[in-house]
Amino acid sequence: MSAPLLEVRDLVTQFHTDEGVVSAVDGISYEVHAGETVGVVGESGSGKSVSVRSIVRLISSPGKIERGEVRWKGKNVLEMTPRELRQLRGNEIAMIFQEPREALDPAYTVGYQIVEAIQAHRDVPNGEAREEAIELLAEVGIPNPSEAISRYPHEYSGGMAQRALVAMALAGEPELLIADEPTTGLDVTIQAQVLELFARLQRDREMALILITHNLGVVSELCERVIVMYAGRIAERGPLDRIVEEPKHPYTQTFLESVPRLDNPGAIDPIEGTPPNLSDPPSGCRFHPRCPEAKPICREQQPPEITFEDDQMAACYVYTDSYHRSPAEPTTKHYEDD
Amino acid sequence: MKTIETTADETEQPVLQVRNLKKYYPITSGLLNRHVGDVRAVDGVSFDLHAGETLAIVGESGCGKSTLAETLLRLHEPTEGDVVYRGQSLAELSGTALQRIRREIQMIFQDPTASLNDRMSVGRIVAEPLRIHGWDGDVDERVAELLEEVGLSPGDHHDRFPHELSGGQCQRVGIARALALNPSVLVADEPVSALDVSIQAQILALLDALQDEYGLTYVFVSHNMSVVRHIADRVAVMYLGRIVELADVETIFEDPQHPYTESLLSSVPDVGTERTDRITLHGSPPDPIDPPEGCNFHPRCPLARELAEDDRAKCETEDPALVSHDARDIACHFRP
Repeated sequence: MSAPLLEVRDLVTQFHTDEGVVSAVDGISYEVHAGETVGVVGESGSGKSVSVRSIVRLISSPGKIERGEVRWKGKNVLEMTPRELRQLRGNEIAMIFQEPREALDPAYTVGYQIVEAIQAHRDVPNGEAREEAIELLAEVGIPNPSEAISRYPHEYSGGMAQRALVAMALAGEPELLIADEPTTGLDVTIQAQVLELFARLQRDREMALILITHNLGVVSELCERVIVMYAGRIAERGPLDRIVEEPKHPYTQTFLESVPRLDNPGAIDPIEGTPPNLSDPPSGCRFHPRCPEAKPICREQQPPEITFEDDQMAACYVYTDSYHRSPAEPTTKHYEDD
Repeated sequence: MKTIETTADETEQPVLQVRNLKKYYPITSGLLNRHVGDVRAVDGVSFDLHAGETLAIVGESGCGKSTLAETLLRLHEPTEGDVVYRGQSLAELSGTALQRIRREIQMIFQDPTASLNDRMSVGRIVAEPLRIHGWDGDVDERVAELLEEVGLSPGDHHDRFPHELSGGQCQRVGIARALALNPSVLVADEPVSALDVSIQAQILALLDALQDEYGLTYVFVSHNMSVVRHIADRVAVMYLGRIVELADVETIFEDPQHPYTESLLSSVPDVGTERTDRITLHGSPPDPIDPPEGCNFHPRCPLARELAEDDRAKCETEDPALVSHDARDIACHFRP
């Protein structure tokens, strides 16, 4: 395999709040290769957004990247100068967010904002940039682009606004597009349109894509590999079909069982309890208070990363000898309700 | 599949009969507030709700599903049409008679934190309907019983305030409040949409258990087809203020006939299924101020696009009525 485009090693990002230090991202590592689509899934507070924002250092006070390494084509992003960082953001890595209409400036036309994005990255004269903006709008499937370019964001529907933002993100011809919940808040028929757009762009432009979402269905549509996060750590990662068909981590297993699915109208099996408070995370494996497989050993230390075939990894004691030698949980567990 | 146990008497009479219900919001303009048009949020909806069943109302934003839910409870005065509760027309009622029927139909809201008064303790929130409607028994005892019922601990949670609770716990409080007066119908407007997946599953399991225990009848408003598949017995699909298809859950999911239902279902991204048959709709739903002529759906309809010109003209000019075919109600000129 060629050298990865992006390498994240043991990344730790914390928020220093009045209530104490919140370890939002606690030692995660992964790689993204050129042209690959990676889904980062997890519930709110799992650290999925923070982990990805840390890649381009979009973490503001009281948040701080404490340690770790982020390498973009071998170069450490955490040591880049502000100038290098500007070059990286937008030109090589672009990002789009949830709530598309909030990301657009209501006072300027959509066209003005795309032209601005083009000219921020390249020295292009106005007329040419405008032509390029129209082409980009056409590429993302906005009908009648030469007219749509002079409209204001409030004249765009949610799905159209998300397309306009994708056009803006494409202006710098990025090699990696990071999309943070890009379809959350959109209606399903509109979501389907936006997902199709992503699939097409990724194919045509051979662009790598990191998709952050809480929706496993969305990941199944688009991604080759999946990273499952729980309470600031990676619980499991691997190829999509392995994660869906043969999840190894008890969190992934219970998570899959708790999602109502179209192909499985039968009973759903909820995970008890709630994700932990990260200013005071549980000891050892952070999932142990809710885990059906937990033994005392799980409370003691962070679980080891176990690798399976096809590069599937689960951070869990269940696959170690010491777990099987360890006595079972002595008392019945008491769940914090909900 | 859930089986619905009903007595002979109940099968004869639906709990709720909704008849040609309309809710228009007038648009006014100018100094004299001249009436220039209407937003037709709910535009002639009829259905029966049977005891013990869960009827899901699905559709995209702006289709009128929430307005319909709120109009059922007469939180809005309907523009036209009627809701009949066990033979009693709500339009004919007012004052205490209406209040008495309102005890029977309760609502659960989407945003669990916003729907609770942050200055009241959990205990007071749940006790409030009991005080307003005059509870005969011991209020404290009833509140403790209700909290227990929804999986909260009376000792722990009674004196807490909503901001001290998680989203899932707040939704449990909302459910306890709705159950306080022993209603027979619960109208739930997107009750799990604001919750995380693992918490969603907990609340759905709770709603299931409560229905089994008390024989509750649910109207479940949702945009999430996977959740609907799990919880509903029958499904009404809405588009632009109207029901376009209504049938039992199996029929809707396994054999959708209305082109809108079909494309709505095929748009849902799902785990582990390869989509080869996706029907992607073009454009967005039209403006309910100025709905298209003929069938509301025709400008986006994949079926209409394939029809011969004469047939298509029918879609463009004639408004299809909701008619029964076997066990299904459908509003389409060419289906089934």
